[in-house]
Amino acid sequence: MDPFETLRMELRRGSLVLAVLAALRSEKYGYTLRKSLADRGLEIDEGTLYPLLRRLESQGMLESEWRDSQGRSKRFYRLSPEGRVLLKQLHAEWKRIAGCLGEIL
Amino acid sequence: MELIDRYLHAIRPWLPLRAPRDEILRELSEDIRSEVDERRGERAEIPEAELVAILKARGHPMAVAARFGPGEALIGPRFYPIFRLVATVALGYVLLPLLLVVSAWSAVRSSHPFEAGVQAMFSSLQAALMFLGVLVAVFAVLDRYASASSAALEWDPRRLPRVRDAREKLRWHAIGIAVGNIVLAVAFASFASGLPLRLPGVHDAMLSGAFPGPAMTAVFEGSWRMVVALALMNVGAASTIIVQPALARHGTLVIAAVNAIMGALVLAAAMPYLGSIGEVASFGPGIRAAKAAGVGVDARQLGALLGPSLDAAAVIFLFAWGIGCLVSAITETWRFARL
Repeated sequence: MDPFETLRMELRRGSLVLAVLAALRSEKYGYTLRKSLADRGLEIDEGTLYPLLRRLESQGMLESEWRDSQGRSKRFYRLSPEGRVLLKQLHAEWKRIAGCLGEIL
Repeated sequence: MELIDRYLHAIRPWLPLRAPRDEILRELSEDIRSEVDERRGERAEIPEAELVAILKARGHPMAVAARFGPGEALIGPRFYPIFRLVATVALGYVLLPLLLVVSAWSAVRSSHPFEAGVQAMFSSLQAALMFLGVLVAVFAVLDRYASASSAALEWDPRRLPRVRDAREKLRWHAIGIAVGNIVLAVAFASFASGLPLRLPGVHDAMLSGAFPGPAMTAVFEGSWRMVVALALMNVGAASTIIVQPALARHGTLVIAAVNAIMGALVLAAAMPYLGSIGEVASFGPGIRAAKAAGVGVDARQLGALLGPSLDAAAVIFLFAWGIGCLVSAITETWRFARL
């Protein structure tokens, strides 16, 4: 893999957590979450998204439940109360880093 | 939509062993079906060509499964499933039984069996570790230097195996295993009970030492209980697969383990009599000599002539059986990985 691709993936990795948490302020199931991120230019494959969702859920940041919707059982994810608090903190940190980087770059 | 089931079925064996496979497949299934629904729009059904394009865009089943694996590693997700399979088969089902057999063989031949056995075991262990090291190095180099195009495997979702066919095939396979092992258990148990002695000629032949010869008698007496117990375990595992297909993975794993143990047991039992195989060569000349002398050969005389040769032939049979068991253990492991 070329160096740019490796560094780009590293840069994306941390940002994806923030993006997923922010997107789940309103309840979504896997496909709609993936699509809403892709529509905003942040493509994420299923092999990255679903393990990430499971990890965030096991950390208490997300809640999920299987429910019937449009004749099929779907797993809906949403931010938990702890996740909301963490998202605020991460958002503030993100703004701080972005500000610093803006000055450095 | 059957194509989606086949696609998911093909992904399953390549998912990481500790991953929650059912949950991942359920989520993947929902993800794919949601995309299909969206693409279908107002149409009653999505054309097969479009469904094929959706699945191809998602990637080869092996590549999709690999994305659920661990992050950065010496052997990346592209090659890790293949490495896992090769290492399991080579180490677990070839090197480990061989290690046991070689150690037992060294112990039996030596005047200091314990020391010889332990020494052989450590030497074999060293060889196994070296093999594992080389295997890791080969796959690490492959992972690092194999071009991206080689990972983009040529494949067509329409050629994936049908899920129902696979289940039906597995059921018939389990029936075969159950029947084969019932026959094996009954044969060994009937020999132990002395039933064949009632067959005409067998009693005389046994008294003369023709069948089973001294080697086979020792092997048989030492192992028949274990063989019957293992065969019955296989019958139980195969019956579980037939009655409860949902437990096919567990059943297949039990059969693989039982066959590996049975293979190692049979080879270890036959190993000390390896030298007697050369005596098979006397089988033909023995008969020719008897015919040339115009001797009317009855069972007792035949036993005296052919005893050691039949014994040696039985040792060859034991070797073939032991190797067959190990091969079966390998194929069952492969089946386990694909379920």
